[in-house]
Amino acid sequence: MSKDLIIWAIGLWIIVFLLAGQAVATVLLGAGIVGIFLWVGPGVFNGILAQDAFYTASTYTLSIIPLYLFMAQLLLKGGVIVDLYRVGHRLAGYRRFPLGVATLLTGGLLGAVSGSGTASAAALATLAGPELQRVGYTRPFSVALTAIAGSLSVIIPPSLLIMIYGSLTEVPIGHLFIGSIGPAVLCMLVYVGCLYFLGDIDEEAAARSALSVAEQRGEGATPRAVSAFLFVIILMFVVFGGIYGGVVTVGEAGALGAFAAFVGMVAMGRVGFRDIAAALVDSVKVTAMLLILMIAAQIFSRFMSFSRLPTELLHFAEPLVANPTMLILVLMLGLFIAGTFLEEVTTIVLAIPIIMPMVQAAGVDVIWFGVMTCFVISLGLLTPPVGLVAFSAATAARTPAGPVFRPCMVFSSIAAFVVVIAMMTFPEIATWLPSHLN
Amino acid sequence: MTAMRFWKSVGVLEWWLAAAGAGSMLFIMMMVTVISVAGRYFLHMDLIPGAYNIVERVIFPLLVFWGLPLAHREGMFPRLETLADTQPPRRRAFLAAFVTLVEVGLYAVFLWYVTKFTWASFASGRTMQIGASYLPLWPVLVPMPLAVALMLLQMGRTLYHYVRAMFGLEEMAAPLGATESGAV
Amino acid sequence: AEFIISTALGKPHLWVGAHMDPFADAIEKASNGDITFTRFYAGELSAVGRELDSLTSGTIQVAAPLLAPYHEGLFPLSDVTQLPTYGTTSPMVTRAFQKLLDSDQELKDGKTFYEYEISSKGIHAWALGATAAYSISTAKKVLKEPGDFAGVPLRAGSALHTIMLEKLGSTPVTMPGSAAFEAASRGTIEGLVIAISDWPSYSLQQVMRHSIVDVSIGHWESYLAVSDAMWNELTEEQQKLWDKTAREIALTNAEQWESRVDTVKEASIKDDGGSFVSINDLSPAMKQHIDKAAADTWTAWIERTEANGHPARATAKLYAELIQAEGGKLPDGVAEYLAK
Ligand code: NA
Ligand code: NA
Repeated sequence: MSKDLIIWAIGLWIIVFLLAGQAVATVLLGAGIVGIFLWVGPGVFNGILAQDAFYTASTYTLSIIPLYLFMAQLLLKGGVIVDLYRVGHRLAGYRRFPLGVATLLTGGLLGAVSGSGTASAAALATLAGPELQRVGYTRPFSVALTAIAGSLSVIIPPSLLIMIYGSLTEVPIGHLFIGSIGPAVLCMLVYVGCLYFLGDIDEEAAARSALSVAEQRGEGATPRAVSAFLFVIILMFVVFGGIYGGVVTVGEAGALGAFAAFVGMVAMGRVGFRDIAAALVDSVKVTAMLLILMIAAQIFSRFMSFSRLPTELLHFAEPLVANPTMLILVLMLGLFIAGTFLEEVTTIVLAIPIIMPMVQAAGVDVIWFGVMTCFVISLGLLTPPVGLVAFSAATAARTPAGPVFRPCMVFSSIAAFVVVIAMMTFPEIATWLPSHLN
Repeated sequence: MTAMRFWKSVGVLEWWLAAAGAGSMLFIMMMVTVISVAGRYFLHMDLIPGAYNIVERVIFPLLVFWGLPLAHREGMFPRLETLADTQPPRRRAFLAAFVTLVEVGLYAVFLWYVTKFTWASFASGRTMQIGASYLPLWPVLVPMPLAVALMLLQMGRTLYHYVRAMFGLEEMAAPLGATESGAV
Repeated sequence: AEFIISTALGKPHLWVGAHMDPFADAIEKASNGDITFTRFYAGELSAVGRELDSLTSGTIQVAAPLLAPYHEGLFPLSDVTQLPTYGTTSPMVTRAFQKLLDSDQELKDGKTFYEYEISSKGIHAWALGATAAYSISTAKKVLKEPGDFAGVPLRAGSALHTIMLEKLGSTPVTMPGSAAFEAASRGTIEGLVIAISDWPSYSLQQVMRHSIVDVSIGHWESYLAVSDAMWNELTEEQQKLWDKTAREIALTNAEQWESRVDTVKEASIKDDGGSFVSINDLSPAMKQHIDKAAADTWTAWIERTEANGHPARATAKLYAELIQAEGGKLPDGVAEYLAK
């Protein structure tokens, strides 16, 4: 088989099995195994398959993932999300726009202690969805807003995507975390702006819901809710303060955060033995699932290295490399599109080996690039056909996903445009904070 | 032992590996790090020498490979659910059977090589470095072929059901929901 | 014929830019294109510590370098150059290590050093240019008296460093060089044992301020390695060319390691307020403390490695002779211990 033919065959393999619904990890494993077999023969499997499997699962930087997952799981199981929303609701009352903002802020706060968007979105959809509808937003828009708020968990650090980017590129994860604070805040502001100008309002329903003055002030925020709210704020400071203050590494911050959440939730009587066990098992399952994906991607990227495709592409992209601005714009557009069709972790593990040589050749700051890449890919959580966060919000709210996707699409496209342009014009948004890290 | 009881005990084994095995590894990993940090700042000493190596070479791999079979069984591996899921049941069963057959083949190759590596590491006394000492690597490697074998077993079982569904002998299972197959 | 040459290190590393690339260039040129290389960098095909697996499985044909110390426990005697010495430079260690590889002195079961470490593994190997001397450097804490070492977490790059750091009274933390910067800037480690010329590879000049020099916590050596399968494909003439080129490039590589030390030091003093204190300017108690730890490291390494069944004593003795012949000095008491 000619070399070109092998590359085409493997490309076809990926497309066919992805569309046929095979697990992404299996698709990559298959493309890697078959590709290597055709390119160099099965002899090299002895040096690749088992070693890549074991030593990928034996990587310190990846071991921090389950710690952050465990922290988030404990807070979720401890019902903190309900309380966060209650406090926000109390402050906003039953006024439409403030309640929308409160929903976004709840998502943001939750995001600062959690790395997974689907769980946040599902919880917010059942919790905040009906309330948003009550103040006059249409049902699809209400659910979409909770999905958007939930997706902030992936945009705001700590973020799974960032941990994976950092471990693939050996860029310090702490710097990436701190660097993405600026763009995440900007993204939230964009969402608030979008909400103000583009909120879908059901005028009739809004007028119909004549509320008493007492009701206007919203539900009571119990001391229990306030204490949970304060606890999350403290936890946020433990994690980010620890990293920013140069006290602990990002892995240690994860362990301390998880431990603090564990002690806090137990002390407040919010979790029992069963919840803790469930939180551990859930975190472990997600970690295992991510790692098999990383292992498969590693084996696939061995085939890519043999084929020298990234090097050829680099050659092909030389005019772009000479013009970094153009290169970044093209890459971001590509990643945004890839993110809409592919699952986010898949996108990043597939894209990084191909694009990093170009990015490095163009002399682009890898922290800045990583922050932007993770941001753009994470917007894919909101876009069809594979917008997991939007899906999970719609599923939780028992609403058809189609109409929910529309506002999600609009918000995320605007955010992508504004944040990317802003980051390119003022790179300091992502680089200033990390450059002052101790 | 009946087939039913066999699958049940496999399920129980997978659950215990994940819950008692991997779950406790996660808890231990958290505590090891917390104790290390506390020792560093409050006692100015390293309470767990070699903690970094222990986490990287022992705790984390055990966590991953013990958790893997359960994550697989529960259908948590992300997949693209667009085209295949919209097909009528019989065609969906055919597609699923085909895809799973290929998957079984791939994991069989994978199992062969991870087992070979584990055995070779045992036979040649491959070591890992923890602090200043060298310890045998094979005890940490064994869960890897075990995990792949358990997954393969599960795949074989699903394949059997898909083939039956293909011939209309049983109902095709519903596609997995979006939330069940997402990584983030 | 075309061969795959692979490194797990990045292009800026001296074992890549000043060894692998010039070596591959030289061979391609001198063989008139009969030997050509496809070059893979930064662990694309074979990661750190996995080079031997990659060579024997045919994934790659040349490892440049094969990082022996990262093959946890597989090259037990190759760590010998990491034993602490005084007054050694990179070229001195490189020559001594080349002689060790060439030596026909039998160490155990009739096997020479080369036969024990290399031949049995299905590869052929040559010395690289040894790194410059490894030094103890710290970020904030100044190490002045023996007590200053107590409980201070310092990064060890190898098993031998862990022994030395334990003997000094500090707590060794093992991690790869790439993790050292973050750990050092967070206080997970207070400092590390590394070649000063290697600082730029890991951005360490930004955090390291205080270094103790003129004592070497050993030099890292490693191998340019080819699989037997590839070696047997070469003609006798090509093998000769290979051997000659490998030896020459190792020595020019060593010169570059040594000259970079001064460049990095000067930049650190000028830009980052770095200070480099000679062991000879430390208090007598401190000097004695370090000297004792250095000597104890020899005995501890020999005893531990012998306990695992490897001829460490004979190896150390042979290396000690070779490095002394180059003008290096041993810590007090080591010569007597080896003579026993
Ligand atoms: Na987050
Ligand atoms: Na998407």
